[in-house]
Amino acid sequence: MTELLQQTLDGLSAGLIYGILALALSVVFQGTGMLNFAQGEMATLSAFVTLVFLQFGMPFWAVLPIVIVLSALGGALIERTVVRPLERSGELPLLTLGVALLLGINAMMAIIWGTNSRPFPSPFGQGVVTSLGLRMTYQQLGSLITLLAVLTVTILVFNRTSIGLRLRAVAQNPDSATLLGQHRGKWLMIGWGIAAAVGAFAALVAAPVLTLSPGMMTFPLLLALAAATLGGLTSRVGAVVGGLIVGVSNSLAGRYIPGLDGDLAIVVPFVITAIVVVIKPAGIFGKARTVRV
Amino acid sequence: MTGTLLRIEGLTARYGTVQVLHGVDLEIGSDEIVALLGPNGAGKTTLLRALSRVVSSRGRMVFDGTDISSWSGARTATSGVGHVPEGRGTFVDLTVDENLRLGALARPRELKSTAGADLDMVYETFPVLQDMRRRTAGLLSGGQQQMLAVGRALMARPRLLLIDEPSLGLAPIVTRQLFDVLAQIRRRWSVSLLIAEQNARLSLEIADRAVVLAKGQVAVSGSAEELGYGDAVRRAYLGVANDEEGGKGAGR
Amino acid sequence: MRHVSRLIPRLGWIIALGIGVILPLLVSDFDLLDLSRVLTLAMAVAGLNLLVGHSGQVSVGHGAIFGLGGYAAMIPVVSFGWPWWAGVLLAAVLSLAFGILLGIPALKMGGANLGLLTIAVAVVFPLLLIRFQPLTGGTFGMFLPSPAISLPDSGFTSRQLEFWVCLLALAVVFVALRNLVHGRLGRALAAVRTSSLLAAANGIAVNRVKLIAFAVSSTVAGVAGALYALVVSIAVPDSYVFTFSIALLAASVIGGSRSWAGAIIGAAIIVYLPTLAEAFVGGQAAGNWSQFVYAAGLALCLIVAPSGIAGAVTSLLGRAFAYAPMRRAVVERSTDMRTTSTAP
Repeated sequence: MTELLQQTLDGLSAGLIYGILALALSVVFQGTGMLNFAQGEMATLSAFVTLVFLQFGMPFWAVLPIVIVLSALGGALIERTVVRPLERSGELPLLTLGVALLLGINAMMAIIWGTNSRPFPSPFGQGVVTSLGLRMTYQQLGSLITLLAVLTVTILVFNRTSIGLRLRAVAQNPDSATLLGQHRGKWLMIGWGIAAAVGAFAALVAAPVLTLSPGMMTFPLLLALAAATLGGLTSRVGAVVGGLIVGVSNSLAGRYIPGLDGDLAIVVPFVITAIVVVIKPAGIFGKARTVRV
Repeated sequence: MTGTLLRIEGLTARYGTVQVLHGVDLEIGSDEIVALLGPNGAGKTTLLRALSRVVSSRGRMVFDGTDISSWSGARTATSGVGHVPEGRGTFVDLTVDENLRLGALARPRELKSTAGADLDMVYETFPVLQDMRRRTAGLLSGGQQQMLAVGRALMARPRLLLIDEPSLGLAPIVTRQLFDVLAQIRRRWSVSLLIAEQNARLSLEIADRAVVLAKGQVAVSGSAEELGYGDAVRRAYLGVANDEEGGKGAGR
Repeated sequence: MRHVSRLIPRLGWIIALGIGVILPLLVSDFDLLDLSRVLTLAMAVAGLNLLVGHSGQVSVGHGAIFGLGGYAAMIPVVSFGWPWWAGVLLAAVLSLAFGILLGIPALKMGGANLGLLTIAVAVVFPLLLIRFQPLTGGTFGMFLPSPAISLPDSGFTSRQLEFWVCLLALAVVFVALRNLVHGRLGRALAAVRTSSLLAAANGIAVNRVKLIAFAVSSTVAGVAGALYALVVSIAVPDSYVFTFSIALLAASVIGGSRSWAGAIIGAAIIVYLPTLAEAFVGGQAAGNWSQFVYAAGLALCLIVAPSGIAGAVTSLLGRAFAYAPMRRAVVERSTDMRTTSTAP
């Protein structure tokens, strides 16, 4: 029983990483209609940049805000330069662009930093908390708190501020938003920036555990894609819930289903996602959009 | 009419190779209601969209003494030109309240502080919205969404409000109520209205003046009384019905 | 006029085929290996073109299907001594079955989900290969001790024979795909790509048409993978990683996803770009640099030349020669990847 709980707990803390990444995917998807396959690599790049600052001897908590701002700027830059020209060209080119970005950023990191894994220091230190027979490392606990904070702030920004209102409005009905003085391009760019900043947190908390390499986020991204699809790409809450479901199912499958230990456990969340989507194509929390011909 | 609020001269607009507007001249006075009439494809929507600067066009457009013909859509919207688009432009996943607050974001800076009072005034003008303020806008009926669209545009405190086919898809009785409210808002909100409408009779009832658009040009214009009794309006409609080449694809 | 414009490309293909037939007699065995790789990869890219260019779907997992074909041919040939053609046949059957199995749920899910599902397959496939070590040889893969395709008494080397086999296979695939695209299915696909809603309203069984396209595309990729593995004599999980799937997709878009010649261009880029990169930056970094160039090329093509290199060349030639009818250029432009929906 304790072991089951422990596995679930581990799954939840990993699931939060997928959920955060899925949240970033959802923000981009709602704005630009693009499934950003490169979200994971963008986050990994943020982690590499962090490591560069750390090597200059700067303390982690001083580097963090710099990197988050840089990530946001980078996301906005990508939207402005390569996404904007394809904005109205439909799903397929945008999907392919995502693939190109993934490949390109991945290669760029490999060229600059090589493909070997590097240790990434945990900002929360070494140590373990034990309670009721369950254990969590400081790193896990710290990640959990950080990600919950990021999640709360993001949801508050979207639901309670005028920035969020504008973002949602432009994502939902860009033409009508223009007539209310909202500059579509500007807000899409800001949306990308926010997504990149949010996504960066996922890589920063994952790096100490996974060790940093250009392909570090390939698996998490894949699980985040499943999570976003499962929860509903059009729903921010759905993305996070999807992430938790994916995390737990992945963790439990790896432990309890024979032959699915290690990387292969990834099959289970995908099967769950496929089943859910066959039943409800827009995902658990997603809303089906009416198509206008 | 106390003065000219908007004057456009020789306005032309095209979608790709199809020219939709062929040199439109139009004037709207302060606190005036002008009905923009004409059959499907006459260019009414395009004219409104050109005024909001979301369709590129040529020709002079002077609003409140300033040439706005080179402005962006966003800037025009925040500078006193409101637009209730065809199909209402509802943000279906946002609540009624959020829809209205969104409108307030387009207010001129000096009017930001009075947004709260205006919100109350919108709810006063459209009491039904008050009851639904926490509801998701997508759940509203067509008539309620149309009211919401007008209210949202008013929240930006426009000097000129462009309304595109407000009666579209509404039951006659709802349309009637809507037009009664539209007749009132000019005084309460000190705003001029340009209403593009196929329902000529109803529009002429509340309008001071009417302009009939046909094949992308002004066919007739005059006071609402003149046009209401004469058959100029009918002729303009029939004239185009026989010959469609001028307006194909101009509906949007 | 019209006859000339139709004849020229056909003549071009015949000349290309002629050159292909005599090429093995002129080129070294070493170069032939790379050329055979180009031919087999071109086959896979052509299969992907049917999907991306003609049915408006995207697969990020064709590398895995290519690998599936490779292993499906290598395992019986290496472990059970089957003749090479029987291995290729098995690869065709398995990849067809796989295409149908993958396509059905993907189409039920709709939207971008085919992309999602195929990306998952692409990632999981190499893991499965390692997991099923007894059958697949694990990390070390399958190795062919002596060339599978050979005629000992003919006086031709295996490399020459392989090239001819691949050439024949590619020619068959091109002709078959071309006929498919110009026939009933092609018209249905064009309708689906333009607007699946309208297509459905006009009585086209949208999902069936898409499934057929996916299954055919998958089969072609599987056969191509089988020949590729037999030619290079080795199949290892590392060859079929996720990035290889992306490279195939990139090749399709960069070459021109609506052009069969584009498939060859794309395949040539996959084969020669790493070699070229190696000449510039040397060993280790070459892979990364060529990956970077794929990515840049892919993004650039999407933005600047949506109909790919082949499409860009065709429209340039069209502008240069008066005989190329304007109509062609217009059709080319309006049917490239950017058109996903058109209002009636």
